[in-house]
This record gives sequence, C-alpha cells and structure tokens, in this order.
Amino acid sequence: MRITGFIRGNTGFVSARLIIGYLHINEVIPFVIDTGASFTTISDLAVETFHINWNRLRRGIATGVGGNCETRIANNAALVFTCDDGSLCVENLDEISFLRHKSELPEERERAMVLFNLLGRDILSRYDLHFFKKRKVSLEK
Amino acid sequence: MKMSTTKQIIRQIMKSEDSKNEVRKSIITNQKNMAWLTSQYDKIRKEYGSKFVAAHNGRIVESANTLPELLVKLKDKPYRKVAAISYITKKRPRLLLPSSVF
Repeated sequence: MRITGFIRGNTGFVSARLIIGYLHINEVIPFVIDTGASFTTISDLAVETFHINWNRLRRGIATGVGGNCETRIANNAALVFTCDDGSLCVENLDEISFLRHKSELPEERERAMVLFNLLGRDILSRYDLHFFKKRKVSLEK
Repeated sequence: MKMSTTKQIIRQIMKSEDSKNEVRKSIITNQKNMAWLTSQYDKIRKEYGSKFVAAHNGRIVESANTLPELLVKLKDKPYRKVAAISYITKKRPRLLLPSSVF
C-alpha cells in the first residue's frame, strides 16, 4: 500500500480527508509531512476555514521552537488517504491537535496563517517514508 | 442535525463505489491544486500579497483580503471543497518549518 505526495522546495505534501464525527468535520486538507512533529496538527487556517467549534475541544499546549502555543485536542479522528492502486486508506487517531494563535496583531496573525497542517509521527511511524529528491514523497506499508 | 460518529462516516464512505470515488477524487484534486499553488507562490506574490487565495485547475479562482470574505465568495462554487486555500505574504517569510516552500 503506497500513498504518494509531492515535494515543493524540500518539503513533502500529501492531502487527506479529515473526519471527526462529533465536530461535523469531513473535509479534505493538505498536510506537510513533518517528522519533527510528535502529533498531527491542524493549523489556524483550517480551524477558521472549517469553523471548528473551539469550545468542544480539550485544552492543550504545544511546545515548539517559537515557544508555547495554545492548542485544543479532539478525539476519535480519522484521516483518509488515496493509495496509488486507487484504494482508500483509513488511519485512525485517538487524538488530533488544533492550533490557534491568540494574538490579533496583524503581523502575528499573518505568521499564523502561513503555517501548514502537519502530518506528524503519530501517522508517519506507521509507514516507511521515502523522499525522492525534488520529485515526490511516498508513505508505504 | 443527526450526529454521526467518525466510524459511521467511514463506514458510509466505504459502503459504495460512488462515495469512495467522490472521496478519492476530492483528495487527488486538492493535492493537485496545492501542488500548483505552492509552485506559484513567488509569481503571484506581487498581485495577491497579503490576500487569501483559492486555487483550482491551475489558476487562482478567488481572492479576498480576509478569510471570511474568501469563504463567502467560495460558498456556492462547485470547487469549494477541493480548492487549495492559502494566505499569500507580501514578502517571502522565513519559517523554521517549511521555509523553502515559499
């Protein structure tokens, strides 16, 4: 079973359908493949695009190079990927994180809006990950 | 509105070839749109800097100064759920994560 994404610059991307029943989320979103992220994380842009109900999520804190950021956590999520053979591959996640940078300062909002959704090691560790220089990235199992 | 669990939604998708095809197509189209949009960042920065954009089928289909405005413009469009949405900065940002994308 192989999922193929693309590389832009030196970053791998792959799209998936994010499904969280109790939040009424069933949307396709792009992810950056991030072996440095422990958990799969949804960005501010997606949170606002899909009007995710922040109050129905559990509080958490994400720590990164830039310091701490408030996160919220949802349970019982699934990501659906397309495989090269045309089948669909479902990956269940007990927890998924959502980012929301609080600042209303325009320059800080701008910085938050350029961050991508991160496909973290909770999913990546289930696959062999291959980067094909400047061309494509594949997740295989 | 009746609330379905994640498992019920997955079961519903997997039940018929039509729903599987719809999901497959939406993922592939979004990925293509994202591949195109990320390849165009530097070219479109001058025109769309500080705007939110939606890309579909190799072009910018909508743009707006704010995300809510963009979502209103996309509301009834057939590509609403598969378009690649992004915020375009005026200057190439330096991010520790996917910096070279920009």
